[in-house]
Parts: sequence; C-alpha cells; structure tokens
Amino acid sequence: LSPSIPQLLQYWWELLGQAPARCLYYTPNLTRGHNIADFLIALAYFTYPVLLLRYWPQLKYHPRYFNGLITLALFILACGSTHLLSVITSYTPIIRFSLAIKFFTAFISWVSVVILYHLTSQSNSSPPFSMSLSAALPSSLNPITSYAFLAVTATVVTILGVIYSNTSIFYQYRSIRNLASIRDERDLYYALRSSLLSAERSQRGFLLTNDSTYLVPYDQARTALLKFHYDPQLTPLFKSKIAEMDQTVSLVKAKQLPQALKLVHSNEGLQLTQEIETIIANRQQSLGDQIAELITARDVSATGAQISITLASITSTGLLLLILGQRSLDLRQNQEYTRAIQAAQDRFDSFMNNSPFYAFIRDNDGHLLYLNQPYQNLFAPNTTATWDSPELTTGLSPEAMIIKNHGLKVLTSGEPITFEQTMVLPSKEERVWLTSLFPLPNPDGQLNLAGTAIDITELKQLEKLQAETHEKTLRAEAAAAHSAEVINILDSITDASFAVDVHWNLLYVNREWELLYAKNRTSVLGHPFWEICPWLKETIFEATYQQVMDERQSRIFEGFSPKVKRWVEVRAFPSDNGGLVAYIHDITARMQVENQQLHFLQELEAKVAERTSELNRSNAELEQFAYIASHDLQEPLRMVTSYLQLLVERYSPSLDSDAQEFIGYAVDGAQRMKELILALLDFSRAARTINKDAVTTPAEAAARLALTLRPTLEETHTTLNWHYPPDLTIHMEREQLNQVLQNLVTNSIKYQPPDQEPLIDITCQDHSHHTEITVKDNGIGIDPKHYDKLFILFRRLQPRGKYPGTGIGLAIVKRVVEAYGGKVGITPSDSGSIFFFTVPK
Amino acid sequence: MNHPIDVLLIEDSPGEARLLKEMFTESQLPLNLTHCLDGEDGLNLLQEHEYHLLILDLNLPGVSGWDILHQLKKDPARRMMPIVVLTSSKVREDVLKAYDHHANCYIQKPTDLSQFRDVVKQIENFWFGLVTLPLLGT
Repeated sequence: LSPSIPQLLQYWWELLGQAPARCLYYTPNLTRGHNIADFLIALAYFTYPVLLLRYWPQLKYHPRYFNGLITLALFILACGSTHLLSVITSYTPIIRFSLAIKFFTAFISWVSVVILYHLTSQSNSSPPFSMSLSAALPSSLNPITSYAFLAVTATVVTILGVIYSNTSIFYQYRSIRNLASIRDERDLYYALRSSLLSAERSQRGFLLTNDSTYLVPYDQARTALLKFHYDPQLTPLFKSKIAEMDQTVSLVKAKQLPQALKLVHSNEGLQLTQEIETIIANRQQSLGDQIAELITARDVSATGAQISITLASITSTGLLLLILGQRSLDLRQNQEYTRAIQAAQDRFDSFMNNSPFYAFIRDNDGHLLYLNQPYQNLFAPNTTATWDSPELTTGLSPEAMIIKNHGLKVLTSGEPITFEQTMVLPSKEERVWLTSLFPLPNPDGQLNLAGTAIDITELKQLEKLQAETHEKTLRAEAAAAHSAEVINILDSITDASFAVDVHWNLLYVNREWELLYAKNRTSVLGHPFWEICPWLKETIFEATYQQVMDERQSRIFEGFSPKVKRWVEVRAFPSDNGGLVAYIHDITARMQVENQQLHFLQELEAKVAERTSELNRSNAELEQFAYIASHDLQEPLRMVTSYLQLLVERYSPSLDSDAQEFIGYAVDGAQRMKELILALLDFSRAARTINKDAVTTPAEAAARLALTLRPTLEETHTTLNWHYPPDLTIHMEREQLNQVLQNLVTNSIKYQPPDQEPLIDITCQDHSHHTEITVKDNGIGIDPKHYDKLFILFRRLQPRGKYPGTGIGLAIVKRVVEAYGGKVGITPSDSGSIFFFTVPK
Repeated sequence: MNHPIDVLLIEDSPGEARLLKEMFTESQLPLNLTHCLDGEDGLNLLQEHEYHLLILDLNLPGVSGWDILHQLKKDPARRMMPIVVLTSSKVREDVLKAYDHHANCYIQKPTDLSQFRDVVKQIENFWFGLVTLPLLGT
C-alpha cells in the first residue's frame, strides 16, 4: 500500500510543479488588495537601505561592518524587488524574470545570514541591528532551557510535518490516479452522447434529403457506438437504437418514405433515445460528483502538506534566529560581566585607596604590581624597581628596609610575617608601623609578595600612657607599704642605703644616705632614682644597678661618686618587689692609697706606649724605604744597566778591551746593587705582618719546607732529618716560620766543603715558656770570633766569589724571630754549625 | 698594515723614553712614535692629534699619569684609544687602581735590557699584530 521513497519524491516533485489554481478564486477586490499590500511592502523595503546610509560615516572605517551593511542593503532591495514583481506578474506574466529575481533574493538572503552570524559572533560592540535583536529577547531567558525546549519543539513539529506530508502525498498520489481515470470515463460518455446525436442527425438528414453523403457520418457514429459493447445496461439499448436507425435507413433506400417517417416518429424510437440520454446524464452526474470530491480532498491534503512544510521551515528559522539571538545575548552577558568586573575593581580600588592601610603587591623579582593610593602618596616608590635596583639594594628608603628585611624571607619561606617596626618617613618623622607581609600565588604558580601596613604610632602612644598611669598607681601603693616597715632598721646602720622598686622609683633612703647626698628624704621618695641622682648615669653605678635589676643577682662593686667626690663600696641586692636595695660604704681612704699605685702603673704604661709608638714609627719609615727602594731606586738602576748593555751591543766592535772590561765592572756593579735592593726589600717586609695568635706544628713546617726547597734539596743531595715530640705546637705564622727555616737550611747547604753531601738535623724542643728549634749541619762551621757579626745585615763572612748570596738570610731570620719575641743564636760546635731560635708560647 | 701607526709616549725620563724609542726603531713596522715629557704636553698633543695607542708612565711631574688616564677614559670621544700603562711600580694597589681607571693593560718596566727588548717586542706583536686597533685604518 505504501509507495517507495523514489515514488514519493516523484509525486512530491509533480505536486510542486502544479500550476497555481488560486487565480480562479481571486475577485477583483482581492487582487487589488494583494497588489496594494505588495507594493507597500516593496516601498518600505526600498526605504530601508536609504535609512541605513545614516550609518555610512561610522561604518566605512570598519570593513567588516561595511560588508555586512552592503549585503543587508542588497538583501532588502532584493526582497522589495520580489514583492514588486509579484504585483507586476499579476498583470504581465514575466514569470521567468520573476523566478530569476526570486533565486537571487534567496542567495543574497543566505549570504546576509552568514555575514550577520559572523558579525554577531565576532564583535564586542555590536552594530545596531544585532543589538536590536538581542534587546528583543528577554534577558532572563535561561539559555539551556530555551534551547532544549526549542530543540524538542522543532523536532516534534518536523517529525509530525514529515509524517503528515508523507501520508498526504501518498493520498494525493492515489487521488490523482483516480481522478484521471474518472475524467477519462466522463469524457467517454461525452463521446458516446455526441456519437448518438451525430448518428440521429445524419439519419434525419438522409431521411429528409435522400442525400447519400449523410451516410458517411452516420456510419462513423454507428461504428463508435457499436465499439462500446461491454456495458451491461447501455450496450443492449445501443443495439436496439442502431437496429431501429438501420431499419429507417433501409426503408429510405427502398423509397418507402412514409413507413420510414412512421418509424422515426414512433414512440418506441423516441423512448429509446430518451432512456439512453437519461442513463448517460446520470452517469455523468455521478462522475462529476466524484471529481469534485477528489479535487476537494486533493486541495485539503495539499494544504496540509504545505502547512507542515511551512511549520518545519518556521521552526528551523526560529531556531536559527534564537541561536543568533543567543549569541547576541551571550555578548550582552559578556558586556555585563565586564561591567561587573569593572564595578568590582572600582569597589576594590575605592576600598583600598580610602582605607588607612598602605598596601602593595610585588612580584618575585620585586616589580611593583599594585600599590594603593596611600602607599603611593607616602613613598612615591619607583614602580620599575626590582630587588636588584639601587632603590631596593642600598636600603636607603624606609620602604626598602621593610621589603629587603622581610619580603625576601616571605618569598622564600612562603610563610606570612607580621611585625612592628619603627620607621623614619621621607619627611624625617618617626612612626611605628604594623606590617603584614604574605605570599600571594599568581596564576603562573609563582609567589607574589603582598603587604599591608598600618600606622599604629598613636595607638602605641596611648598604650604606653595607660601602662604608665597604671604603674604609677602601683608604685605609690607599694612605697607606702614598704617604707614604714624597714625605715627603723635601716636608719640604724652606718652605711648609706636606698631601695627602689622595679621602675626605679625610690621607695626608701636611710639617714646616712640623706647625709651623703645632702638631700631630704621626703623630697626624694616616690621619685625616679635617676632624676634624683643624675650624675650616676653612664657610670659603673648605672651599669651594675641595671645588672642587678635584670639578672636578679646581688653584686659588690667599687666606684667613685663624682657628686660627693667619695670612693664607695656598694653592695646591691635584688629585692622581693622586683626592685633593688643598695648599701653604700665609704672607702675613700683606702682608695687614695690604691690610686697612687695606679698612677705609677699608668706612668709606666705610658712610657711603654711611647716606645712602642717610636718603634712603629721606625717600622713605618722602613716600609716607606721599601717602597722607595722598589720604585725610585730601580729606575736609575735600570738606566745604568740598560744603557751599558746597549753600549756593549752597539759599540762592542769599536771598544777596546779596557773599555769592555770597565763596562763589565759597571754592569756587574749595577746587577749587584739590584740584588741588594731586592734583598733589602725582602728584609723590610719580612716582619711586616706578625700574627702572634697563629699556631702551626712541626709536621706542617716540615712538609712546607720540603715543598719549598725540593729542587735545592734534590740537586745538592741534602739529607734533612726532623726530631720533635708529639703534640708540639709552634706559635708562629706558618709562612714566616718557613722563611726562617728556609734561610737557615739554605745557609747550611750553601756553606759546605766541596764534594760533601749536606746532612741537616732540625730538632724541636718543648720548654716551659717557649719552643726551641735547632738547625744542625755538617758544613764548614763558623769561627767563634765571627759569632757577633753573624746576624748583621749584608755582613758576609766569606768572599763573594766563593759562596753566592747577599748576606741577608740570617738578618731576616733574626728580624722575624725577634718580631715574635724570640731569640736567635748559634751554639758553639766542633764540627759544622748549630743555629737555634726560640718561639714563645 | 700600510697605515702608519701613531703612538704617543708620555714619559718624564728622557733616558727611559730614548731606550723605548731605540727598541721600537728596531721593528719593521711603520710606527710614528711621538714622545713628550710631561702630562700637560701629552694632553695638548692628544687634543690636536688622534693617536692609535698611548704608552703612559704613571709617575709624572705636574699632571700625573693617573690624571691623564682618568681624563681620557671618562671622555666618550677618546676612550676608545687603548692605553698601555708602562711603569716601574709593582705595588698591587697601583695595578688595581690602573685597571679601575680602565687602563687597557698594565706592564711593569723590566730592569734588564734584554727583558726590555722583550717587552717592546711583545707590545708590538700584541697591539700592532694580533689586536685590531679601533682607530687604525679609518
């Protein structure tokens, strides 16, 4: 029963192609009304683009909107044109042109839809047309609900529409088939009737004129009628009628006219014709009724299909409009969000800028990310500064102090810090701040440093004032209770005595104290001690009293009271009430003796100091000499040497042997002078840095010496033996000890008989106040008569040619050892020499 | 190396200067060695003429080598010229101070002729051979 999909499509296509039948229903007034309305619509459409021209100045600079506007204008013009054309086609059928315009309109409409979609989705500041669309939608529309509702509705309507249109198209398909066959049948009856009439008319014509040409149509009609032979009702009637007519024709042919006329006018013949006509008319009537019924049904189903298709289109268009509207709505919501964020930002700024807090945020590198107005006003910080910038590294500004001291700590530890700090403002005013620094993670996961500070100077002052008032009250009460109790006892002792409470207010003084300071008891009690005895401030008295007060331990000390010019011995005890009690005993007589002793001692020390300073001065002069030697003496020396060498180089051939020899001496002399100057320099620097706290060990000294002298020792095959007790220490700077040993050992190696391998013993001995170190060798030895000249600068015991050296080694040894407070000397010996030196402990 | 190299020597000791000149004369390079005896003359010469290299003694009478070093190196127009400090001082503070004043190198005067010749050779090899001088050939 159901048709296949291609069949359905085919009939749908046919249905779509049916010419509009409505023109028959149009009355002149209806036509006029339609045309006037179409014309008005077209006129309105044509006005639109003119109005849009007003946006021209703004839009020509925005290509995107400009294109959109041009497309919209074209779209509207095209719509107007279709309406105008529908007016024209109702009078002049230019339907092909009209179709072309309609397709163009459809195309341009979709182009404008696409462009409008893009415009509304991209723009932040919506152009007027999309804004009006979004304004038309209720802002409280829940997007999800409305989408879901619309989607369900659209789906249901579309499904119903499709079902309905499919069934109606099916019905239509059957109806069209029936209608065609019924129409054919009706046409057949028309043909039968006209054949019957033609046969009768031809028969009558032949009867009246006896003209045989009438017989041709007669035969044709007769044959047509005889063809219709299958109808059970009509076929016998047709046969009877044809028989009757054939009989009439044969009578006319036989010239029996009266019988023929009689037959034609007989009742039977007329009756037969009438019967046939009645049957045909009835059948035609019934077929016409069927056709009308089918046409009505077709129109109904076509309308239904059109309605369902229209509904589906409307729903789809609605969905599209809603999506567009929703986009505009989203845009509007975005703008609302932005406005809300801006409002929150404004509220935050207003709150921060009008609060008494000083607030800032710095990032990990120290850049200022945020600062509120009070902070800006107070410090006017350089906003581009980082931790490494001079503003934050030199710590000059008060704010840099906070940040540098605590900010970096917060950033590294991630823990907030709250602290009070006294700061000097740029205006030099001193204020107390309560500052909180806390880490603030930023979206990148790093820590920023946020800080708030509040000026609590007034609060602090108020607190202090309250505390002071409270203490004063307590003090007065305690004084009253205490004084009465102890006054009698203390008055009876011979030492001066006083007592103070924890805040240094005098609770009690005894009679001796009154006498000592010539002050009346009543005028001092309850007053702060330091106001009564200001001369004791910054003396041993204040320091020791403070100690007793803080440590709660009694102390005995002696001091000179400048006010009364007496030496006193004071015993100070902490008292139960948190204060202290002191007993002051006059010891002036004893102190006078002691003072005399002290005086002598000081004189002695002054003399020592004078000597020391002389020594220092001479050392400094030596330093100065060393400097001169290293620069000023070297320059003339260089002149002499260099020019002599140049002379030899350039003029050697023209110089005689005497001249060359003299120059040789001069060069040699200059060379030696250079060595002497360098040696002198070494000597002057040898004892420049003395560190008597330095400690080294024999093992360390041995290792160091071996390292320094290795080439010499190896070259000369020297055997070097060390002897020292374990755990021995030498109180000398390591390098200087090495210098001393190096000079002594070098000396021993140098002064050797030819072809003998040096054997050197270094022995360290521990004595009660010093360490003694001896260097014994198997060398040529030293004549005892030279002992006194040994350690003198540049003094040589051997001619220069035999043994190399400047004669400064032992002088350096002596200088270093004596700088450390030690002694150096030589022990008489039969073979070789034995040098010794001591290092005090 | 067709451009003549202009070298200014500021050295208060005529003997030292002569020695240096002698050593430079031995080289094959197209050197124009100008010498002046004190700092004031040196500054005047430097105003009038553009030198490719300055060899400077520090201990000068009047305007000292330090002053010249300081003035030249703080002047953006002239600080490109390399300055070789050639002095007898080997005091550590002097060395540090010279580099602190942006001296390009610090050379201690040797005491021996052969060493002296060596130093001059090294200066030549380095400054006129290895190094591309900023002002030369422009």
